[in-house]
Amino acid sequence: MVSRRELLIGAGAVAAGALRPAGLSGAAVAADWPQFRGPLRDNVSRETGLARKWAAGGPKVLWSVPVAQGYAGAAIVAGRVYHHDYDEAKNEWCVNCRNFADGKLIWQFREAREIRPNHAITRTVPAVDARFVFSLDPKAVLHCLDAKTGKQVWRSSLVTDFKATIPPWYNGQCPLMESDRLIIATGGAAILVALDKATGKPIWQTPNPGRLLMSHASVMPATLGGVKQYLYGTLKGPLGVSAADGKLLWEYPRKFNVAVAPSPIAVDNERVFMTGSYDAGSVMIRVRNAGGAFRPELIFDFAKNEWNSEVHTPIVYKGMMFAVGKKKRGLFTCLSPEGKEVWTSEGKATFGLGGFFMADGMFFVMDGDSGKLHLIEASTTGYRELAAAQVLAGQEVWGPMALSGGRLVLRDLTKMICIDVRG
Amino acid sequence: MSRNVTRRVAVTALASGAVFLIRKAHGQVVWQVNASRCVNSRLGEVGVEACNLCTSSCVVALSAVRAVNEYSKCGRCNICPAYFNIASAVDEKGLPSEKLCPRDAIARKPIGKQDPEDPANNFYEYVIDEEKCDGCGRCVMKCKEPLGLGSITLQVRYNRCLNCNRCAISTDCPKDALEQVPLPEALKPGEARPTV
Repeated sequence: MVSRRELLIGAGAVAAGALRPAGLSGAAVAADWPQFRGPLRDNVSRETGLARKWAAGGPKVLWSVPVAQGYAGAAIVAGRVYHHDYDEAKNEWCVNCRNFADGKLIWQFREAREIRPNHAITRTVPAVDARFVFSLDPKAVLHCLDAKTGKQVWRSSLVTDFKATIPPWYNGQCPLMESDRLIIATGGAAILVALDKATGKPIWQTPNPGRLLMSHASVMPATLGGVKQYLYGTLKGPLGVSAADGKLLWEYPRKFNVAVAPSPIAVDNERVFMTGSYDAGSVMIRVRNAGGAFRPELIFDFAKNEWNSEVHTPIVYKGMMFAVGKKKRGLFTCLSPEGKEVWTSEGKATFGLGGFFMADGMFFVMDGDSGKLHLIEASTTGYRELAAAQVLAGQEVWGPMALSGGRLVLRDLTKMICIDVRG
Repeated sequence: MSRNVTRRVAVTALASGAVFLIRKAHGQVVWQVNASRCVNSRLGEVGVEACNLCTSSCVVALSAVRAVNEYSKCGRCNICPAYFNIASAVDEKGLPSEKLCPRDAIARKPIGKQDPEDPANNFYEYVIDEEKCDGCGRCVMKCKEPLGLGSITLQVRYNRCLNCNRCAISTDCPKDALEQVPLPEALKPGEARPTV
């Protein structure tokens, strides 16, 4: 029997399908969370009917499984959960496929991969459609696995095939999945490459005369000046590549330090925001389309100790940006496109380096130091907490979350859980 | 009543002092700077100027304060923000071109197995030369958690301290950041963990 709640969720999913840009992850069921930051790569779920208050003990825990130390988040497709893992005893890197209903392992892909733990081991989220699982491992080998069986379909070492350099602290990039292709940043021989999903063969490559290195950011889709493009950020600043043919459309030289983990995002149809850690601050630029020539220009540039996000990419909602900022130790912040702090959680809550996403008019924000999950009204006028619950244990609860069918998959350093957040 | 309270306070203070002296006599406490309380943790904010009192207040020439790196906590990162000036220009391997320490007091050497296919994740041991270090604490601030691992701290080094028992640094510190830490809790150099 289909409940009203499921119908509501289904309606939300249909809405999500209607909102989906052409060509983006078309094979995934609308309520799925098929890749990093969800179906539209914006970290917003279109599901509705979620609880706005939680019982005293917090949302019901549906299942819990141990995982190797790290921050690797989940993708959810067609009743299955996919995530990265590591076997420290055997030095084997793993992709796990679990039953979404009970967390039980369905298949596991393993490959020998020697990793030196440094800020834990596992990172990143695989991209999954009805046929394939695409996983970029810590040493920049891209694996295409059969989603049903976990058998390898093809693999490509970005080091061998594209002369990539494995980043310090290992790969942090999550593949961007489109309807027929994957978009990956490689550095080395190319800035970005588009690969055929079925074969792994390159469709186009963006030349890399500036010898940019692969960062920890992920490629983000955007439409700027009416042209679909892919945004990417390196230690030398943000850039945009034509989705049609991989041509570099623009780049904005701006120094970032050590490692760039957050991905650049389009705030509207002209503005691009990029933030980073290690005293790098943030930058907002405007990218104008002047008759096919794209020209980036500075709107504002935050120096260190002004606003920045260290790990996670902001969410754009009602023209504002929302994220946990580094300033004053992890305040959840509403930032205007002009760079003004509209409101913060100061005096109410801090979140360390915790992750967040948005669904049903609410932000789910994790306290990365304690494992306490906060439910916050999605508002451009002020911080209003609706509920909070200790769902995980600190420290370094930094992994991204995934929502599907009102069930939320999230993790701390050593445990992955699924909780029921339906209303 | 007030006499009783005063007496109790005096007895407590005497007892605390006695415990400290006993611990010190047995070498069980270390003067260590609490990095999160240190005023330099706010460097970069408007109006905050670098504090050098750990260097200048000590009665010992060049100060008895030194940076101490505990190897068992160190991440042994290739791009160590305490070793490199991360704001300096990077080379084509992504390494910053300048060092952070103004006295070049930190040396690094590769340890463990070196992977030629993955040079950015090779491990390094960072050794602080106490003859060069003057306890300015720049490296400490860059190794702070959460993105750093907090393996470096400033300590009054027992072999340089005159035990004057009127620690001028402690008196001068505007944030009361110099703390007596029981030896088992203090960061210790020289305790290497197994290399991978």
